[in-house]
Amino acid sequence: MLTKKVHRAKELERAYADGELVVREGDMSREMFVIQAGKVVISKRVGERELELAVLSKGDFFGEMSVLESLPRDANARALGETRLLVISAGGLLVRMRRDPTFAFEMLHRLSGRVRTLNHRLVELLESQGGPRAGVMLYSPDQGEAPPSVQLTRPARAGHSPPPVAGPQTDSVADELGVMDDDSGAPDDASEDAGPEPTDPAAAEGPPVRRS
Amino acid sequence: MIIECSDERLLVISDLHIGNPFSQANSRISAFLKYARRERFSLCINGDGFEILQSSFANLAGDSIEVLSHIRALLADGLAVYYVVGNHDIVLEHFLESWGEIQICPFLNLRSGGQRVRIEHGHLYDPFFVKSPDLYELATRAAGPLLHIYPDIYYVWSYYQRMKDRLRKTPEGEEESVYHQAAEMLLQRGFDCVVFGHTHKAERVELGSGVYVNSGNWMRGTTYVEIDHGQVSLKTWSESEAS
Repeated sequence: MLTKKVHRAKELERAYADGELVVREGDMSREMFVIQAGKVVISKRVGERELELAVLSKGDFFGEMSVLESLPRDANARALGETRLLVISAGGLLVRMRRDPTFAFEMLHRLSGRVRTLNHRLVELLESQGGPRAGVMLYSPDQGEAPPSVQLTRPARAGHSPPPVAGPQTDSVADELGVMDDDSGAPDDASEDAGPEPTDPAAAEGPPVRRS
Repeated sequence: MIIECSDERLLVISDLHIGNPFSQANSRISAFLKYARRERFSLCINGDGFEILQSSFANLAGDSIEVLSHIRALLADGLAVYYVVGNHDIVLEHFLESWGEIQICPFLNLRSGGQRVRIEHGHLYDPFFVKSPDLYELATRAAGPLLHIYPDIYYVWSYYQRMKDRLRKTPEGEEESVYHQAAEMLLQRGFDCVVFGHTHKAERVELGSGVYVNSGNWMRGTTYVEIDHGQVSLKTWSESEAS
């Protein structure tokens, strides 16, 4: 891995060889990446298997969840071919947003697409289980007013607090449905994102799923 | 609202300021749009296509009829028309959206021939607009009547824009443009080329990480950017191309 300082933006450029790991699931690094050249494979360990979630290419970005939420990496990212990445820290992200304001718009656009995809999958999941229980709300615009029976994340593992998604979280959609306890022996890190684990290759459908 | 699109053949024009009494775009643009239709190019109006800050709605409505009919013809032929919002037409955004099939966008990330091209008006990098947006709007509105009385004030403004870049130097003594800096920031994000308008100054510059092109203006000029399977060229329209 070669690192070069980008003069004006106080950002770094890093070059990776084919197959080199950019981030590892569970790492505590706090940077996000924009692909300047090459490709990056996002994958996640599920039991003994490593499932490929998405292949990202030039202009795509990943790792923003760790910058925004300060949580461990949720997936592996590995270079596919010779790859060059722009590396942005939290402070650098603010500077970039000031100088390159459309970057913030693009991030929101992607995150919005991801929420939409996850909502769609969640509804499909609920429907496949006979429909949601009457009166269960999945989100509440006012976090303080969410029904106490609803959350979109699993309970935290020891020493790892998940971020609140909607209101007080005493129960989970997984518990409501009893459908999400069958998928792994993998570290329970679903707390970094809302919605069910997109551990199938179809997770790359629609807006790319980036979960590092 | 779309910000990502793919198109192999696209023409980019900007700063027509249709509706502004000083703009000559209306007399020239029809032939250009016919050319786009004949050659099967999609069209991107990269900001300030229509003028409302320095004009009245009556002027705008009157001047835009012919352009809109040509745009409708492009759409009817299955060609895409994108409209990137600029600073003189921000207040027209909802009005433009009601035209239906025209894609209104804040900026456009275009894929063409395997290349990634950012198309953006560029006013977000104008220091005057960013630091004092209200004063900027006031000055722009005030310039409207002045243009009626003394049209050459446009050339004074144009000269000022050019000199501003010449006077701003890097530590290495090179010309330093805020638009080049902004384009470089974008190029670092995996774009191969950045296309701005806004400055009315047509140019093509090789920067460290890629190419910066400004599509110039149709207020007094006739420059445009042609993107053909990823090849980006800055061109000047002449009536001979219409035939």
